[in-house]
Amino acid sequence: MRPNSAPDNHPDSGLNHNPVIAAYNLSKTFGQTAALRDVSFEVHAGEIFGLLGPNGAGKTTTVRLLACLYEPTGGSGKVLGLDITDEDSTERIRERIGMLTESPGLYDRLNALEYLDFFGDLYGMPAAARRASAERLLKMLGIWDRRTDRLAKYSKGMKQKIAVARTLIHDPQVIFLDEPTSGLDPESAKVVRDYVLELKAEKQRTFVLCTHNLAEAERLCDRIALVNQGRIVALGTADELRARLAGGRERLCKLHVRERAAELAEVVRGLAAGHGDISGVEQAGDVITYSTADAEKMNPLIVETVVKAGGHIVALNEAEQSLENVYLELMHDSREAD
Amino acid sequence: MRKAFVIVRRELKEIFRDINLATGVLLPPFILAGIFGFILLDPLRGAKSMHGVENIPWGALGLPPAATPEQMLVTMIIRVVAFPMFWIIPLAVTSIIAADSFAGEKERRTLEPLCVAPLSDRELFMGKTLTSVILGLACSWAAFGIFTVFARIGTTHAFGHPTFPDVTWLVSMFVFVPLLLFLGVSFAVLVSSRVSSYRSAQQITAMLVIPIVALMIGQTTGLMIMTSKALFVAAAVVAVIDLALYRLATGLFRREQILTRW
Repeated sequence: MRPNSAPDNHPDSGLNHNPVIAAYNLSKTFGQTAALRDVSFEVHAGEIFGLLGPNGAGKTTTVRLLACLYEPTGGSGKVLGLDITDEDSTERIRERIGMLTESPGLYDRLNALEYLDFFGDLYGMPAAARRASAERLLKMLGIWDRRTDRLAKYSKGMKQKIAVARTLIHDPQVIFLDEPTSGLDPESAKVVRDYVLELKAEKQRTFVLCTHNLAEAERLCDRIALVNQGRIVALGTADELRARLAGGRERLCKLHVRERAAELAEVVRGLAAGHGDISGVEQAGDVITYSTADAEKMNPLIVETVVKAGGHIVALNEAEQSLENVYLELMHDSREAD
Repeated sequence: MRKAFVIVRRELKEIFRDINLATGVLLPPFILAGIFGFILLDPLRGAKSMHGVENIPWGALGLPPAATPEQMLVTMIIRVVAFPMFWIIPLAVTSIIAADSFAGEKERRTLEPLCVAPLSDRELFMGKTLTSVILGLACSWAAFGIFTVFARIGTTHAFGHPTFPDVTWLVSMFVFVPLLLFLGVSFAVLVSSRVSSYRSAQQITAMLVIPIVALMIGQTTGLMIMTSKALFVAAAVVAVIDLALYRLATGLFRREQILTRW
């Protein structure tokens, strides 16, 4: 029997309540192993939602549950308003989603056109529409010239492109992408990323992107859920995640001065001696660097003190936390918590 | 069921593009038909005596008491030896494809995209099953056509007129074999969907041939002769098993199990 528990944990309760994808306390257990534990999130129309985490974190399991390939052992979920736990809805959900699977999974003895035609046919597309869609996608991905070659002859990157084309052949409303640019050269990866952004902007398509490519997540995703050991450990925009990490943690600041840098560095050191919140004051050329856990309070104080000491400040920068730092810190924290 | 036939078309295309697989599936029934056919053209060549065929109930096979050795040999080849072979060969070769249906796709990692597509579990199961059944039937009937040419020549030579195909053969080929193939193939597909590898699926489905071999032994030793009436009864039993197996298979068939069983 499929579970259908009432949602009791809406993480995005402040957002509008017509999410295209909704997961409420989704759990999945395989034997004794909990692959997913109380995962909740909502994704709205035209949003690219990232699931970021290490291998085995539960990203693919989440996507397979939402694509109705697995039945949840707990919680509930909706895709395009259809209940993923309702057996009558599963086929209608599958008609309207596209899913790029972990491995391309191509039929090697077919050629690209035949392969895409097969899937288009399964999606109920008329022959002319299948052909037009396949042509458009293959041209966009730069493999139209190889359309009649058997897929066995394709390189790894070309196979991934065919898998991308298969995912999009029926112009789905919701698209799940599991490592979409894996195996692609930088140029092809850019083509795929640009097309994802185009579909989002022009057609309001909704995406869930599973990745451990931080740069890709940052570049594409409107919001990111950091997943580890079957749980969402943090959820928000890349900036929000950075801010969350920055809260209560030291930030590196760089003060650029016009002259007398060594002398002004001593002034800052004097200030640091009186305030535990400033540390690691260094000077190199015209730049004075220091760390502070409370930049909002300390930076104005430092600026004021330096100006009073006759210093001429050119700029003050806070070194931005990279998403990689955020990711590593939060993953570390979640492991510590477990 | 339209989508089941979309799968059938794709699978047949793939099979015929793999020369090794295609010859492995297509050739055995034709070789078999050819071998028996050539023997029928001159059944007495190489026959030293008629010892060893005393147990065969010739009367039940429609042979008069005063039958010539040639008539006895032609009848034995047609009704005793070749008859069950036309059950075994299509079953054996198509079960290879059926065993590959899910386990092979899983090993080649092509199954998940297929499972994401909007087709019901029943359509997926039927698509896989029908591929092997259609292929098996096509091969069986084509081989039967070749065998018929030889058998008509052989029976004309032995009896003065063609006695082939008789009702028993027609019932066998057009009623019993399709039902038997469906049983064997759906069993193999079900096994394939529930095991972790193609090799395991093949090992288990190979057991399918055992009851047919037993029947063949029964025929050659004279213990059991399949008449048209007995075949109709057997067909009815197989049809009931087919139905039960179909219900069981579609009931047990779950995408999640197929994808997660390794």
